[in-house]
Amino acid sequence: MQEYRFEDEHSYLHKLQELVDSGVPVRRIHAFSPIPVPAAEQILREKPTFVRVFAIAGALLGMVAGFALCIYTVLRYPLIVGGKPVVSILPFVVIAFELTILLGSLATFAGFLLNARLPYIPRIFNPDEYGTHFTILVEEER
Amino acid sequence: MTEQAVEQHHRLERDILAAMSRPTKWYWVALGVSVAAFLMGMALWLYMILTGMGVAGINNPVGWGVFIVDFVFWVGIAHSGTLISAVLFLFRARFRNRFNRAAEAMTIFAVMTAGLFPLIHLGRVWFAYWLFPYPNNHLIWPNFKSPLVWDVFAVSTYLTVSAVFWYVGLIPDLAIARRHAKNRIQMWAYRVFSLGWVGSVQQWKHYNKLYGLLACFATPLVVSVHSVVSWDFAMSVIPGWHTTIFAPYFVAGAILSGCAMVITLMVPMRKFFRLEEIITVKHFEGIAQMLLLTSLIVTYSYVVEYAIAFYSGNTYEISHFVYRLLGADEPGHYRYAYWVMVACNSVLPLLLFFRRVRTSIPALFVLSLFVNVGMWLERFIIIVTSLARDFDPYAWGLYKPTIIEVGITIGSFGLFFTLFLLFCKALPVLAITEIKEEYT
Repeated sequence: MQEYRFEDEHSYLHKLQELVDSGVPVRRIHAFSPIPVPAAEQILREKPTFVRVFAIAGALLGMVAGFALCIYTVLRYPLIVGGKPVVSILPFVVIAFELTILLGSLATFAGFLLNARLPYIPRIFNPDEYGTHFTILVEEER
Repeated sequence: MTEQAVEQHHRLERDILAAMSRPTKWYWVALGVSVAAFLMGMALWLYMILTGMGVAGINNPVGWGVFIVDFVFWVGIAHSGTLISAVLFLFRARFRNRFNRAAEAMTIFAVMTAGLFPLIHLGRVWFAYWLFPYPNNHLIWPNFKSPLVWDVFAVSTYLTVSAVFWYVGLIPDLAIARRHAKNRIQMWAYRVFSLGWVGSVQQWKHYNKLYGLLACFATPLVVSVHSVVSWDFAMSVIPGWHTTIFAPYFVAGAILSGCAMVITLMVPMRKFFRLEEIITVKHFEGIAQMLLLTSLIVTYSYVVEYAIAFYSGNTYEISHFVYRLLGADEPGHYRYAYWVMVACNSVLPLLLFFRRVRTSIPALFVLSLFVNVGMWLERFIIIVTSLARDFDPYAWGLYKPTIIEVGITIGSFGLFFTLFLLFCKALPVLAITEIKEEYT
């Protein structure tokens, strides 16, 4: 395992580009930074994240769940309130909206944890610390 | 990135984490006072539970008193936290980086404090779970057409989403704190809660997406929560409550009070933790401008309320608004509260048009205290005066908070400040990673 440490972002990106250009396969390069460096994603040809899929799925599920909850419960307990129809969609929009946001956010968070492989138990017990350094690790060829 | 920036990164970590070092004498004093106030509030609540709701001043016709005022006040305080962290993030307003961590903490603690008040107000608090929809052997369900049930959903969603957003922002900073931990307990706490974060390219990729998406979810949420709170009132037919301006009016008021509370909290925090170099006057000016903008919106709403009442031609609406402004001749009415409210929320913030006031930290601090008072009074006026004078003169009545209600209100401030003080010593008070990004 070869290790390169840099104090600053520019030499880190420069080295990353150099490694990729010299033909090192990207799957053997592991790069770490104390702050997000979007340019590194492009150099390593990272695929777009799936987190957004979780967001939309969670949000839709929440909306359906909100309406389902309201409609199911009023049908189970059909009490007429204020002379309104038993199934009144308009007030149920509020519940559906809140659940859209709730399940959407929770699903997005869950999607992040799954995609970023967190929590990563071995690293909790024995964290790799790169401090304020921008670090590149290159795996040896097997 | 230059040598200077590298040096800045080290300095930032050191200076911000220094706030978590051994507490000073004044910290213990502040914590002691807050905890004492909180315990007093809890003791009074216990007394009220054991004795009955009669010890509170609420009665016919004013059935919603200081407890509901406190609820709306604290939910309002919460709002600017989300505004600063989510809305200003989407607008890429840079000054937000200095305030977002503390403001989000404030949001969560304020919602927790607010959440107590419906329970306190319930009387039979042991039946609070009836508000949640769950299958039960009575085969009854909550009424989803009721704004009070909407409120349960809105506020609990708000608490959950704010907590997630806050925690997500903390993950990279907890990984920094992990390196600087001073003892084993701290080290393990930060190790566990930073989830094994290393800052790899892949982690950042997912993280940035997550943060942006959460900001997108939180932005409509913050608007919806105080709108739902306002509908607790506006859905009824009581003069003074039954108006369409209520939702935007409440949201603007919430952000006004929240910005004021951010200033109230951040000025002493900056001073005691010596963060003057990181949070500069320029950043406070940004918050001051927000305060001025929302104050103007609130003032506009005050005017529109009157305009709607008079334009409606409805006798009850008109006479109610005349009553708010002028009161009645015998003592005990609320006109002074109304005038103080207008002075605090509409007139004094106009001083922020002057650059000298905007850039003076002591002036901003004093002004923020006035706005806090004014916004509490605003909720008091909206809630209490409307109930005190509705349609039928035979049913009119006055309300005065009892010592129990005042004590529980002080207790809620105690809870809020206790939680905030504990936060200051347990977690990084500023978003280190986000501020670092500026120095590249």
